[in-house]
Amino acid sequence: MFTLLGPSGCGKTTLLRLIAGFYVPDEGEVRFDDRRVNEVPPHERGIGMVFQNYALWPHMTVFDNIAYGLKLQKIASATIAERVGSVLEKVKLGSLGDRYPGQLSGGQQQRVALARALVLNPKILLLDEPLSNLDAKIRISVRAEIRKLQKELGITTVYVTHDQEEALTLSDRIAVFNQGRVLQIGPPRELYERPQSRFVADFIGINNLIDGTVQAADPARKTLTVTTAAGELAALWDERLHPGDTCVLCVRPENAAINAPVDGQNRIKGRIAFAAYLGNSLRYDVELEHGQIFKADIRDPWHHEEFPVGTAVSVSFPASSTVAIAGDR
Amino acid sequence: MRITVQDLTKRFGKNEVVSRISFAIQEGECSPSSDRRAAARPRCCA
Ligand SMILES: Nc1ncnc2c1ncn2[C@@H]1O[C@H](COP(=O)(O)OP(=O)(O)OP(=O)(O)O)[C@@H](O)[C@H]1O
Ligand SMILES: [Mg+2]
Repeated sequence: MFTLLGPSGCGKTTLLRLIAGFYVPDEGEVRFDDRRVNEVPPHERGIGMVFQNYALWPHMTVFDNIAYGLKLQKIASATIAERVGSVLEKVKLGSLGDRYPGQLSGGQQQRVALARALVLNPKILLLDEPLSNLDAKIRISVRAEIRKLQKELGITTVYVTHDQEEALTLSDRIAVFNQGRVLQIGPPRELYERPQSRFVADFIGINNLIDGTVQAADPARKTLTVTTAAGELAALWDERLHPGDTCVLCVRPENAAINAPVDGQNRIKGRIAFAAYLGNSLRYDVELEHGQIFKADIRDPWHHEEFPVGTAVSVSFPASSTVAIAGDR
Repeated sequence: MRITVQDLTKRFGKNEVVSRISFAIQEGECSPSSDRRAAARPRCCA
């Protein structure tokens, strides 16, 4: 599954509509296999689309909503009944064909919208934030179903979301978008562990961002030495960075430890400013000596005695999980 | 079906909402989670 991920208003729906054919591009082209489709209307593109707001017809039953596109194609009614029945089974709505959308839960409506797209046997499936109206638990189960269905059917799918966690769990590759531009494309793990811009580092998960200047680059030891307001820190080597370059260091809260005994790591002093108990972890806000807040996680809060606010602590993290990004990216 | 988007640009008035976007999506792009993990290993700075 290929996902377009970006904040609200960054152009995701517009891009999906360009691919679907509801908008004509001002420049550039869209190709399906080797065929240029810029001038091909949506209904001739072989796409199925699920819209951000489902767009079901309230006065039609579930069955009729799904059958609508097939009726337009003048397909025999026995065939229509068969295809609608089979797609209803696929999305686990077997017995609800006679209901109206108003009589369904949000999750069920979402599945009707998906069934309506799938019944046309599309070559391409375009999904625009299909889960955004669902509550958290249902969202997780429906997204697992979508992922499974997409694998079974093997349809080329573009999935749009502004939810980075959803993108990480569902996708084979993600394109991160901001202000109409693609900033980085890659598998979830690459985006999470090797962001290539400040925006991606900040948008995907949580990162502590520390500005600095490269002091030394050591390709043999695969490290950079970076001068920052928090002192000299070691980071992963990057061939694009040279001494004198400004950069930003990115450290994830789960890679930082508080009062760890081991040496040979980055270590910064600070004071506990806040503690948030999240159940499966405990997240400290540590105020560093230069005033910046640094987030660090305790991953086993069951066996951790919480530090009171104001406690002086040291935060440490290895160079191998400290990513340096050029300052202008 | 493979989707290729090349330098795609869309403006509403003078507001450029999609700016020179390019990418390609392979046929049915998906892989079993095992090779997904291998494929996902970061390459750029390793
Ligand atoms: N038909 C239109 N005419 C003029 N401006 C538009 C039109 N459609 C969208 N826009 C503008 O283009 C920008 C991108 O809109 P788009 O709907 O693509 O964003 P999005 O990434 O899908 O956001 P969201 O996550 O909120 O759905 C927004 O600033 C929006 O106001
Ligand atoms: Mg949108």
